[in-house]
Amino acid sequence: MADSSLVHLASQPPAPARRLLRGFAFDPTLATKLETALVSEILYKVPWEANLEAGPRGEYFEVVDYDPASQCFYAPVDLNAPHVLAQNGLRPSEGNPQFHQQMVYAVAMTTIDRFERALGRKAFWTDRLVTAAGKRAESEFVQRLRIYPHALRMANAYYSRAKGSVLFGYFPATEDLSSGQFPGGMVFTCLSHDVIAHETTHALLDGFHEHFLEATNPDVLAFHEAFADMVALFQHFTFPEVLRHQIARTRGDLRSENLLAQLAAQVGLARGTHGALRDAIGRFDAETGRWVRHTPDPTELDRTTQVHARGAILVAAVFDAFLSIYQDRSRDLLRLASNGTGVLAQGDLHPDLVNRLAQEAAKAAGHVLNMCIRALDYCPPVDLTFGEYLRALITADMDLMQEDEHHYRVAFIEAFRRRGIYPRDVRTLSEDSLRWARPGEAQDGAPGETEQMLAMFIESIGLREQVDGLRYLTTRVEIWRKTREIRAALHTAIQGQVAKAELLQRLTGLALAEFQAPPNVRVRRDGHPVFTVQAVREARRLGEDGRMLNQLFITLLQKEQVEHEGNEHVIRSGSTLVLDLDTLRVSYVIGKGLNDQKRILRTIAYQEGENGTRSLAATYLADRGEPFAALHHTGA
Amino acid sequence: MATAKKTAAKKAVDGFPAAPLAAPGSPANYRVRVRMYRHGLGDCFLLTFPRKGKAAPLQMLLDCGALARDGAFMTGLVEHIHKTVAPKGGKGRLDVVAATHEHKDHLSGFNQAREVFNTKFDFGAVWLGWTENLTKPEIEKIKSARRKAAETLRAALAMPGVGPELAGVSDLLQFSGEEDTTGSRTVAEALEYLKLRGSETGDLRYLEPGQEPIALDGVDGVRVYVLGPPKDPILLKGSEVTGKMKREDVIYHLGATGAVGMDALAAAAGVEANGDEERFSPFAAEHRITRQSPYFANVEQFLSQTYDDPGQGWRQIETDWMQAFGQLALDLDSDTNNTSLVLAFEFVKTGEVLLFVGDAQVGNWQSWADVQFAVPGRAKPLPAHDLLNRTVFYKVGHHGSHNATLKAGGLELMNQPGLVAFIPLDRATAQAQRWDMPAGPLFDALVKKTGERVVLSDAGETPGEEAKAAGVRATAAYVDYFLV
Repeated sequence: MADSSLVHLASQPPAPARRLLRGFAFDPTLATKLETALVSEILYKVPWEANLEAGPRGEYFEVVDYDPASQCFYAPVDLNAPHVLAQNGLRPSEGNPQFHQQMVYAVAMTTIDRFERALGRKAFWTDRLVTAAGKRAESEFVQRLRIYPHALRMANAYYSRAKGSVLFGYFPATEDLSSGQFPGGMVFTCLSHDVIAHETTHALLDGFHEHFLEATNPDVLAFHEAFADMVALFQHFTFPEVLRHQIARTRGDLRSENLLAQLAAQVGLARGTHGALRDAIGRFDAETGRWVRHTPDPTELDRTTQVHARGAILVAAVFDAFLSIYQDRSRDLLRLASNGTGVLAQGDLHPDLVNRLAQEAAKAAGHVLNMCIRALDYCPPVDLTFGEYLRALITADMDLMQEDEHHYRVAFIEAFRRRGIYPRDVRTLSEDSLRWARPGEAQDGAPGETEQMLAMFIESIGLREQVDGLRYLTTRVEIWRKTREIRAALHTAIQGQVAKAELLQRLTGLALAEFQAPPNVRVRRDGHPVFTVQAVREARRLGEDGRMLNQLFITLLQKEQVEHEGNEHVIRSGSTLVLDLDTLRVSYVIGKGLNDQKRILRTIAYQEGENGTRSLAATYLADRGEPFAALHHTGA
Repeated sequence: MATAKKTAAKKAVDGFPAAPLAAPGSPANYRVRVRMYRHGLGDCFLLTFPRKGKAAPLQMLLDCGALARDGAFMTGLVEHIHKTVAPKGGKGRLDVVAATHEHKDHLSGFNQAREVFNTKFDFGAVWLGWTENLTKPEIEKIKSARRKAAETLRAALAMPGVGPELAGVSDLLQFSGEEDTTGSRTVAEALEYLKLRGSETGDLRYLEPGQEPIALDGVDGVRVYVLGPPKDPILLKGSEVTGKMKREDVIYHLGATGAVGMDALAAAAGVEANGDEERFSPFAAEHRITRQSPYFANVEQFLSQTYDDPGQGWRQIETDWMQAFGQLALDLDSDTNNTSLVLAFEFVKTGEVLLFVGDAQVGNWQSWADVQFAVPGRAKPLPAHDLLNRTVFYKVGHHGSHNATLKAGGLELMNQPGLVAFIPLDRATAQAQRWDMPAGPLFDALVKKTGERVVLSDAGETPGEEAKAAGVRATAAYVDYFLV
């Protein structure tokens, strides 16, 4: 008798790499316009999760469809049900809550896939801090971000760190007929690709740099918003049908009004703003009733403090860089198609040309988004400014691409310069001075001594072996645990070796060596100053010269109490160390030191000034602990 | 703090404190006396401008309200005003009665002490902001949207299982409260009463920013300028003005919630939505699975691993959606504050200015940058900011909250060396509600700017030496500022 439970491997189909799910390209509005109806629906190709449960509930997300205002649940969709699998997911429908769940899952997974591919490692959510009675706060692994597609009855959606969740709202469209929307029709923020991508990115960025929610200068929160918008924007270029459609419509000129550069069209229109919620290249002018293109103004940044408006300037700069790159890459195509003149004849473009232009746009957008995400590794862990982000972008790219063949870096520098975004302390705006500095030699040491000591230090704590241990782990929780071990080991190592601590202290400007901390830094009873090894991240990336970069990013953090004009302030300082594990060298020290008096005063002045411009909620309702709830109410 | 030394804690007063009609040490001759009553959290100002010869001085009442005072107390206050205005008895005359905006802490006295106003006072002119002119349909539209918002909020507060998101909403609602502590009159009725009195004397005025300066009857050399409420609907709305709010019909909506959003909230809160609740449900009834539904068993297993898992209770969202009501309450409050009538009194000869801003918030302040006045004998129009520059007395907006005194284009423009600031604020009331009044940084800025001449109406504080030197006199019932 044959054993029927025996699996005959040879006849098993291989697991698919991707799950195909139907969804709206942008949001439901495209489907109701003849011009765009054909491209309103696309296939999202998300990574195949073998153990996906109903919800959907997978490795990264769990969609829980509870609607507290209506006091009901909506049944979770099972994406593995044969009928669903057989037709690439449910058909897009505004009236079917199960499709809504599928849509948020598809876009959120697409976003995380983008992120992980750019970084070459797994993404993590922010740890949850649990304080048991009488004990020190412990961080706890959060496996899944929870997504509530119908949590709010308002034109709002936000990421809540306190709940490890993203909450989406729904609301009736404005009754203003001139908006062109069905007045009073229900608008779901969870059906907008841009809103979902934006909120997922907030959660990802928070898991990456958890102190980027602390507004220590006008750029920090604005960066959070801008980064979330950038990811949403550049994901538009991964929809081939829409991309071709828009390239054909604009005759290849992406600087004119187009859907790709707009964010959350339906949400914006339904709120009565006459245009998309945000637009990277232009805006709707209420006075003339026309769309007008932005002209970059280097003084605008100084005048703009509102978080979204400030973030929009960074988005515009990055998008502008992208457009220059795209133009550069497509110039030869236009010449080929125009008998060498570069001026296209009137009428529609040839479909072949449209395809090739679309390829170039998609390629450039992919590269730019990769650069933007990789730059996160090179950011200081606290108090980020736009200028420092530019330095991070340039440095990250120079590490990978030594030759700037397509002038990407020049495009970035130019676009930032045109919007007045400069780092504070560089001598010139050249690539070389923008690149983060290598750690300097000690004034009184022998040549090469610093480098040698650092190499010895890295070797003595067995950093290579530790990181190797990380590489063959497959589940996120294992990686999380191992990383925590490495962080603890590093902390002990720095504390235990006075000479090394002194060296690191000099490089980072933090107080690390025992009995040497300034009075405003907390010191343990044994004389060791309090600091944390906040994060350890590894990256192996293939450079253009075929060499594999083998890097480790370590962030150190420290708090100090500062008194200023009678008020106590807690100032956070920190450093990101970029290590090359192949050469055992510290490539860069990117940091905010304790002894930077100017920065500390700037932070205090900014925070005090902020008190003067906060909204009325600050007077009446004090702090509610949901930073994005209020932020997104006016800007989504 | 140097500006206000705490006196020994007094016993709580249950009636309006007895006080002389003139504060000890008052100067015999002055050009104007500004009297701020010390009656709790709320505004009540009596401005007295002496006239030439033996004529009685011009008396102007600017607001008369308190957030938390009973009728007996407010009647006591208005009686005191009567005695001040008519020391020899008989009817008193208030030459001008002005109301800044429709909030209880500025108007309640007109309801609570209605009897006294009816029997003991003659009114001259009544001044209101143009936003109170309900004969204009667009203004009626704004007001009805506000009524609906208030109604929605009250319904929301009555919902079962109301969460912490609604803490603060009921406090905020007090400002546009239905009833005064004594009776059942609404704040809107106080305005109606003033309009009635104004039309009886034939001098009811709705004032607009930039209109021709007003002369005070029988008082030489004083001009009254109207700076707000703003005519620009966007500025009228804004406690925080963003470019995104630039849309034509913003004025008809309440804040960011919008008219339809209000309906949806109303439906959720159980306010009757014209029998249309179903319209505000996101999906057809067949999709909804309540805990009582027979289909609940189908989702129970899933929920026990997710939403109902006790270990993940920290992720539940039962009440988060209710913060929409908090936002609505704030919108309601700030929208009304921004309709504040803003008046500047200029002494022509010396150029000194007294500035009364009601509870004007950022948008109202910002609008003054474009306001200018045609002044007789001046070739060029007079910009409103010039008046700020010459301000010697500033009635601080909104009880010293942080966004009711603009920094750039506001306080920074006030550069007169003798500047005095009055804040009508009772610290205990604000603290009990946990309101940030006065806002620390603003208060510090005021202290710095005025050289410590900041005076609170709080009965527990006495004006500091610097204020006294600048002509401030106080009794238990009021604080006077004299321009001699």
